[in-house]
Parts: sequence; C-alpha cells; structure tokens
Amino acid sequence: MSERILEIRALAWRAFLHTRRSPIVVAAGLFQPIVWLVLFSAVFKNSPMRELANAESYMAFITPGALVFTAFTGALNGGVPILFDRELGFLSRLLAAPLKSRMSIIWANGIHIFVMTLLQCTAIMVLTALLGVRFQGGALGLLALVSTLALISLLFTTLSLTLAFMLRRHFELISIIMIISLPMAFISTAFAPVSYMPSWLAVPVAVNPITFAVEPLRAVFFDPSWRWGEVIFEAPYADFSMAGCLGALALLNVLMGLAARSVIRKKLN
Amino acid sequence: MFTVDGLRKSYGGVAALKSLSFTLEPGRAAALLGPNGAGKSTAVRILVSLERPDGGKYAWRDVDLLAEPRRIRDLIGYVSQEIALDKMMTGVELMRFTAGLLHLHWRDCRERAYDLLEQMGLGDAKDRRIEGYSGGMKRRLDLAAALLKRPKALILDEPTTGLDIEARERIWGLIRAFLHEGGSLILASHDFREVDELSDDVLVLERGAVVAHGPAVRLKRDLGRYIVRVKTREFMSPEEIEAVGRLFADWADEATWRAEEACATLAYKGELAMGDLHARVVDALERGGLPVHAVNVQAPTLEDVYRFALKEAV
Repeated sequence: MSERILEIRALAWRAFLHTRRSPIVVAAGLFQPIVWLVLFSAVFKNSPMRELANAESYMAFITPGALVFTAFTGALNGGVPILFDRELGFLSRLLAAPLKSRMSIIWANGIHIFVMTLLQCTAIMVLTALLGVRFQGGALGLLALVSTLALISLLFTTLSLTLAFMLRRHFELISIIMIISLPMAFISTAFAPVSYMPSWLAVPVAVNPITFAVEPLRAVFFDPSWRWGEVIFEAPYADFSMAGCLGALALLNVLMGLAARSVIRKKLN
Repeated sequence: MFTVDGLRKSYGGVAALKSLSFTLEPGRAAALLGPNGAGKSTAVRILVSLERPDGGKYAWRDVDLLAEPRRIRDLIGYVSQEIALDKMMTGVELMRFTAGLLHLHWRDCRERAYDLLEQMGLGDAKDRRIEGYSGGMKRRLDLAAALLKRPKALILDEPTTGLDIEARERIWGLIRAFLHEGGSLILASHDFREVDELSDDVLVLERGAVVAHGPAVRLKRDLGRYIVRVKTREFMSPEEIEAVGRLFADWADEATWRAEEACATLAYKGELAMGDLHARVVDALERGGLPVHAVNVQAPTLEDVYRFALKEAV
C-alpha cells in the first residue's frame, strides 16, 4: 500500500472513529431534513407546487431538496474539525508528521464527509420510501443521484475546508455556516419551483449551486424516462439539461478547487 | 549528527530568532533555555519543520533538512508543549493512528506500540479513552507515539510542564533510556532541574539571541567558584541592592554581581575557600556600614548561569 494511501486511510479512520463515538452528530445531521420533510409537507400539503414537478405529494417534491440540503450542510460543517484541531494543537501534530502530502488531510476529510452524506441520504431515501415517495429513475438515475450528491458535497466541503484554513476559530466558521445555510436553501428550488417565485428571486435562484443539484435529483426521482440531454431547468439566462446541471456543478468544483488550492497549500506549507 | 548553523527568523521585522547554531551528536542532548518570548518556541517550530527560517542551515549528516523538510519529520519525534492528543481515542488507537501517519503498517508495529505503552506504564490504561488519562499519562502517551518509528532525535517542548515530581522523574528516565540507545534530544524548557538532569549542552536564549552556550558543567564553572547571595535585610529595596553592588565594584577582577528581586548576588571567580569568602563578604559589608542580614555561599547552579547570562544580555 502506498504511503499516500496509508496516511489518508489513517486520517479518514480517525474521522470515522469520531463519528462512531459521537453518533448524536449523525442523528443531528438527519434531524433537520427529516423535520423539514415532515413539517413542510404537512404545511404545504395542498400546495399546487408539486404539480409543476410531477411529484405525487409535496413530501415527494421536497425529498430531492432534503437530500441536497443534507449533503450541503454535512459538507459545510466539514471544516469545523480542522479548526478544532488547530485550536487544540492537534493540527500541528499532523503537520509535524512525515505526510507524503499535507493535502491528505483534505482528502481524508472529503472522503469522510462524502461517505457520511451517502449514508444519511440513504437513510432519508429509505424513510421517504416508507412514506410513499418512490424513486423512479432506475439504476442510471441512481448513478446520476450519487454523482450529483458527490459534486455538491465536494463543492461545499472544499469551501468549508478553505474557510477553515483562512479563519482562526471554530465559532467564526460556525457563524458563517449559520449565515449562509438557510438563505442558500431557500434561494433555491428545494422548496418551490422557480416559476412559483417572484421574478426578483429568479436570478439568484438560477445561480445557486443548490438549484443545480436539486433539479437533476428531482428529474431522476419523478421522471422514469429522464434523459441526460433533456432540459430540466429553465434559468432566466439559459436552459439546463441534466448533463448541463452536472457540468455546471463540475465547473464550479474546478473553480472552487483552484481557489482553494492556493489558500490551503499556502496555509499547509 | 545534526548541525544547526545560523538559523534566524523574523516576524514583521521583529527578530524572533537571531542566530541559532549548535551541533548534536547521537546520544547527546541540547537544551534551549530562556524566558517567555526568548525564541525557544520559534526555534522548536523551525527544527520540527512547522516554520521556515529566513536563513541559516539545518542538516542531518549530509542531508539539507531545509531543502527536504519531509526528512525532518521522518527523522524526528516531536512532543509539543500543549498535550495535543485526540481525547476521543484510546491509547492504542492513538498509536495506531500515529503508525498510519508514519506510513507503518499496524501489523508490523503493533508489538512495538504495545511494548512502548508498557514501558510508559500505560499497559493497563491502553484501551481506555485518553480523556480519562491524567496529565502525566497523556505526556507519557505523547512520548510513546513520538518514539514509535525509532526517531534519530526527539524534540521536546516543555515535556513535563504541570506534572508532579514522580511523573517528571518517570519521563526523565524514559528520555535517558532513549539517549542511552543513541538517540539525540533537543529540549526546550523553563525547568532548570530538568535541563540539568537531561542535557549535555545548554543554549540560553534571550530576545532571540544565544547569550550563553556550552556544556552545563562548563557554564557553571565559567560563571565562578561560588555564588554569594547577600541580604542587608529581609526585603531589600532596589536602592539597598545597588548599595551592596557598589560595595563589590572593587571586586571586578574576581567577581561580577547582579541585582535579584530581593538580594544582591555575586558570582565569585577568585581562589578563596567557601568559609573565607563568607568572612570576606561579611567584612566588606561591615566596613561599608551595611547591616548583615544573610550571606549565603553556594556552588553555582544552572539557574545562576541563566540569570547572569540574561543580565549580561540586558
């Protein structure tokens, strides 16, 4: 086994050990999307919004949003342990170790966050399936769903880890998370289609990465005949297909990665 | 052999380390001694590759460690001043995690890890969470992790801060065993006794500069044969201390004096025996019309070396 893999495995093992020792964190991560699913679907039970997306119920309509929000919040919190490690001096211990690459710290965190996101999203899908929300996208749809969650998770993990290396204290990052998470969720199509919103909100919704993750998930959830090239989201400035949405997310990841790389490398080296 | 030559570092134009130079043979120990802000931590952070120096050389044998900082991390085991352990892990889990960071397969180093935990007196606690360990147990575990890959050198930053004497002596014993096996030690400490117990060479730092450097025995010998602490009353004022100092100005060929917090201290280099020196000091005080409250004559300690080195630096 290469040295790089050994060190990433050790770092990721530590992150999973923390999760195992603090299952309440996983439960808390699931709590909010489940509350949303239950409460929002009750409040908006008779809303006509679901009809605009071929969903059988409002709960079905917001299930893709709940999955994306789970991935998004999990990823956004990913930088917090780095800041705790810095504050407690543990980061110095990692940096004084003969790591083949200090970027292994980032990769290990990313792997942990993505695996936890998948587990949490699986739990939500099982729960919503029990409540009657059927996934209709087939095996390829499942691949598209996992790819979308991976892209949104990676995007906000990178953002969070970059912020973790720029900020000094964990409560600074937590404040930023609190400030941006709710607007990011509401200025997206997670809870309502863009055609249901006032026109002034359409542009911010159409540039929000959350929207580019929710729309592909909604397509694979409710359209058994979905196709990669079919338009699934009409933004004020362009129409986006499934491939276009995933391409936009991939492009955002590249841009975020480039911005993050210089910051993280500067701080780590 | 480790060679450190002229290492220097500034932060925003302020010199934190002016020029640090020393060599370290296998089985030998060098101590960095100095007050807070003297540059010890900066030196340690450079020596463990957590900081890049502005200039100077740092080598092990023929390897330029500043050009290959990863080699530093391969060669050195580091125990930081803060007890930086993951409290959610058990002792064994920390060793296993450390093995991964050191690119060791757990199956290949498990036996050594368990041996080290036993040597550190943590055999019974190894499967307990670190959050339940005492300060001494955490320090010993930190040391065990630092020794896992059999480093060429240990760099310890205040390794026994906050520990009781029993825990300190246990750690000192383990460090001595490491030195006996041919390892090298760089120790940053405030603790004179610790430095005296463990170090061959001492570097006294003040405001980033080395103000005294050499074997502890030689530094003490060079300071003088005896240290004399003079009190004209229990709590002396600065003026009274100065008055005693003026009295000893004539002794400049054979003694230097410094003002301490509540007494005047004389480092005596002359030939007088202890009893004769005591009598001469008392006589000088009486001739000068100063009361004699206490005259204490003793062999120089490392703390005296440190205090006089700082005085000269000022």
